[in-house]
Amino acid sequence: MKRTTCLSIASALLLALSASLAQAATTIRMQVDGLVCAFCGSAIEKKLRSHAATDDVLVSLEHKVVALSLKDGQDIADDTLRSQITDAGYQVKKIERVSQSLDSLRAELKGKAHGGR
Amino acid sequence: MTSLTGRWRRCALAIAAALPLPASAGFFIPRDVTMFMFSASPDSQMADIAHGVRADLALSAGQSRYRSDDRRIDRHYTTLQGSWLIHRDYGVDGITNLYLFGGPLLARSSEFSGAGSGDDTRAGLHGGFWADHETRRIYGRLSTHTYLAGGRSQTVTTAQGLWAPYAADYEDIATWLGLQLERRSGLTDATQVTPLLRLFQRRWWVDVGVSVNREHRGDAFVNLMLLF
Repeated sequence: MKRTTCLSIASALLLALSASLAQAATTIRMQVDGLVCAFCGSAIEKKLRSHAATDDVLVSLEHKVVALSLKDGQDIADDTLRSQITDAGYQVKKIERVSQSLDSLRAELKGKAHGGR
Repeated sequence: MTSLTGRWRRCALAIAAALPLPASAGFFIPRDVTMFMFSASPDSQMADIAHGVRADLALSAGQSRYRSDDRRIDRHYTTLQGSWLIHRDYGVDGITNLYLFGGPLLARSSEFSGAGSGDDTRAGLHGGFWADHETRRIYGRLSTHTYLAGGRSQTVTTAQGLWAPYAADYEDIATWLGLQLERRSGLTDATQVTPLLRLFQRRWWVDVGVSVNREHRGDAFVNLMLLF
């Protein structure tokens, strides 16, 4: 009985820990049309970085991807993101939340870019 | 940062004086973004600051100077301008824009006061259109800008075609090579032909070129843009 209780507590702790890690790694990935120039696209980065919930921003012209990592426990509504990208002059085609970290996504996109050349 | 020393200031002025034609700035100024632009050539100089107030509207204030090829006409314009994005097409690999722009101006020139009377100033209007298409490897632009003041008019028509030897990504310095054709009616009968080198990264942009047509051969120009 005591052993079962210990195992249950350990499992609960592991679940809580993994949920917390997933939360910390929350990344918003957007597919954006019109991204051809870094000079023009820098407005997107400026807009997204100005948001209090933003931790870091990634822009890939090659993959037409804009992504941002969120600070712990924070989020940005899709409508806000869509509005900020539109104000910067671009069109959002898709918004998704992924558990992948921004660094991992950056490495993945770089790998794809090099693999494709 | 310390101020320029006399030697460096003289050097900077000498370089600026050697630079020719005006390269118009880009119009892509997103909301809440401010852009400073400066261009210089022997026949024209221009400084402009613009701010995006909406996704499709930027307001700017600027100062420009144009000189005729024979150096008899010297015009100084102080301009206020609204630039409207009329149409934007989002293609699979590129983007196409059409802008209309215009506003009031003050023109200062000796033409308004008669020979030997010094410069005089007239109020007027200016405006035009700008169309461009851009992919990560190809850029094309056609624009025209007309100034009207004191019964005088001047139209600057510009065509640019550029090609990027590699598709730069967001972190990279983009390199473009191309050609600019420009005609300034009322100031020159020649079409200025200028091979261009364009370099830009996230918040800075530089165009440099040297004209090759007979009337402007050897005239260099520079165009600098910074985003804030």
